Amino acid sequence: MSNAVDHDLAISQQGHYAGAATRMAAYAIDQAVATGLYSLGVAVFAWILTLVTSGNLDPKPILGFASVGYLLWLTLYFGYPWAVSGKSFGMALLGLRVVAADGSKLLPKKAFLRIVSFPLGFLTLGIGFLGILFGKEHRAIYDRVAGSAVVYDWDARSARWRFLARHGNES
Amino acid sequence: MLLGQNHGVESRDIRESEAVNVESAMVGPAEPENQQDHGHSVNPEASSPAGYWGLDAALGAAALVGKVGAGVTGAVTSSTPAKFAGSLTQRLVAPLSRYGNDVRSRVADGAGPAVGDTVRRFTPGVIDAVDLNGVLAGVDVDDIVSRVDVNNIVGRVDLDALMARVDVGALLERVDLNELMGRVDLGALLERVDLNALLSNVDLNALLANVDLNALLLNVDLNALLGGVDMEALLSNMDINAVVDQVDIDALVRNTELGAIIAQSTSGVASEALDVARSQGVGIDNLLAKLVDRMLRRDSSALPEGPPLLVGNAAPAALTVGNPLPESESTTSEADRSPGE
Repeated sequence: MSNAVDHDLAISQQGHYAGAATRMAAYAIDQAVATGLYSLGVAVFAWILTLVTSGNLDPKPILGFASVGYLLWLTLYFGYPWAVSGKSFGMALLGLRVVAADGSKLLPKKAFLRIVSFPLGFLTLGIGFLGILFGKEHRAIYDRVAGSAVVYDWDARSARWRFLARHGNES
Repeated sequence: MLLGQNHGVESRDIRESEAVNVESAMVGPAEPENQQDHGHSVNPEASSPAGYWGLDAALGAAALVGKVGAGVTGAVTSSTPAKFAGSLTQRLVAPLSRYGNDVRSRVADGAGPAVGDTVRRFTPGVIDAVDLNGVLAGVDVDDIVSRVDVNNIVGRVDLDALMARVDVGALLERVDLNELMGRVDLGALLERVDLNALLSNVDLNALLANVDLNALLLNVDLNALLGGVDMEALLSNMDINAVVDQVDIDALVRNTELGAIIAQSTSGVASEALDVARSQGVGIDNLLAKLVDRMLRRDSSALPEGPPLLVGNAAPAALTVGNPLPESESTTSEADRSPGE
C-alpha cells in the first residue's frame, strides 16, 4: 500500500493548522449527522404528537418551531463538544480539534462565540470561509471572531505503528 | 693666680657635667631637681672632691716630662756611643735576663690558676653590674646580619659530608606524622596542584594495563553502588527525546512482538479505514495549500505551521492520545489582537 507516505505526512503535521478539505469533510459529516439526528428526533416527536392530537394540528407553526429548534440543535450539537473536548463528531472522525488561537484549550465562552458567529460564513455568501483556504492560519471569519483555530489532532504515530505492525505480521 | 683659679673652676664644671652625662647614660633620665643642682649656681666645693685639680696637674706634668724625655731619649739612643753602650749593657745583663725569664715563666705557670680563680670569683658580680638589656638594645642586629656573607658560609659547608652523618631513619622515627599531617591544609595544597599538567604526564594505558579489572569488579557491590545513584536526577539531565530519536521505532514495531500487540489491540477495518481517510484528507489539504501558495506566490516555508503553543518550543508532544492541551489563561490571546490576521 502507498499509505505509508500519507502516514509520514500526517505525523509531521500534528498540531498544524488543518486544511480546507479535511475541515469541509468534517463539517459535512457533522451537518449530515446533526440534520439526520434532528430529522429523526422531529419525526419521532411528530409521530408522538400525532398520536396524542389525532392529527388535528396546524403544520405551519410546527414548522416554524422546528426551524428554530433546528438552529438550537445545531448550536447544541457543535457548541457543546467544542466547549468540552474541542471536537465535534465529524472532527473527531477526521482527527481535527478546535483550539484557541495560541494553541491552548478552547474555553467554553469562545466555543459559544464560535458557534454563534458560525453563520457569518454563510451570511457573507461564503466569503467568510475563504480564510480557511487562503489564510495563512487557515482561519475562517468565525475563527477570528472567537479567537480559535482548527488543527490536526489524530494519533498518526499510532496509526503508522498499526500499519507497520499489520504489514510486518502479514509478511 | 686669679686666672688659674678661674680655669680650675671651669675644668671642675666640665668634669661635673661629664660625670652627670655618664651617670645619666647609666641610670636613665635625671630628675628635674638634679638638673637644677648641676646648673651654674651650684657650689663646686660642695659637690666635687677636692683632689681632681691636683690629679690633673700631676697628669699634665707627667705628660710634659714624658714628652721631653722621649725627645731626649730619642736623641741619645740614636747616637753611636749610646748604641755601643746599649750593646755592652746587653752583654753584661745577659745572666740577669735569663734569671728574669725563669721568674716570668714561673709566675706565668702559677698565675694561671690564680687568675682563673679570680675571674670566677668576680665574674658574677661583673655580669650583675652590666645592664645586658641596655647593651643588647644598642646592638644593631640587622646591621650585623647584613654584614654576614651567608652564601660564603654556606659555600664552605660540605653538605654531603654533613648529610652522611645524619641518621635519617632515627630522625623520621622521632617525627609524629599524624600530628604533621594534621597541620597540613590539604585544600590549599591541592589548589596549587595543576591536575591537568599532572595527568598529562600520566600514561593511563600503561597504568590500566597493570590493573586486574576482573579482580576489581569482583569486589564491587553493584547493588549498593546502584542504590546510591539518584536515577531521577540522572534522567533529568538526559535528553530522552534525543535518545528516542536514535531508535528505529519502525523496525522495532515491524519486527518484534510489540508490533503484534499493537496490531491486535487496535485491529479492525474501522480503525484502518479511519487512518486511511485521515491520511488522505491531510494529503488533499497539503495539495490545496501548495496550489494556493503557488497562486498567491507565497513562500509556504514562511507561513506559520500551527499555533505557537503546539508547534513552537513550548509545544507538548503534540496532541497525542491522553496528552491534554494547555489551559488558556486569557480570553483574548495575542493572536486574536493581531491586526495582520
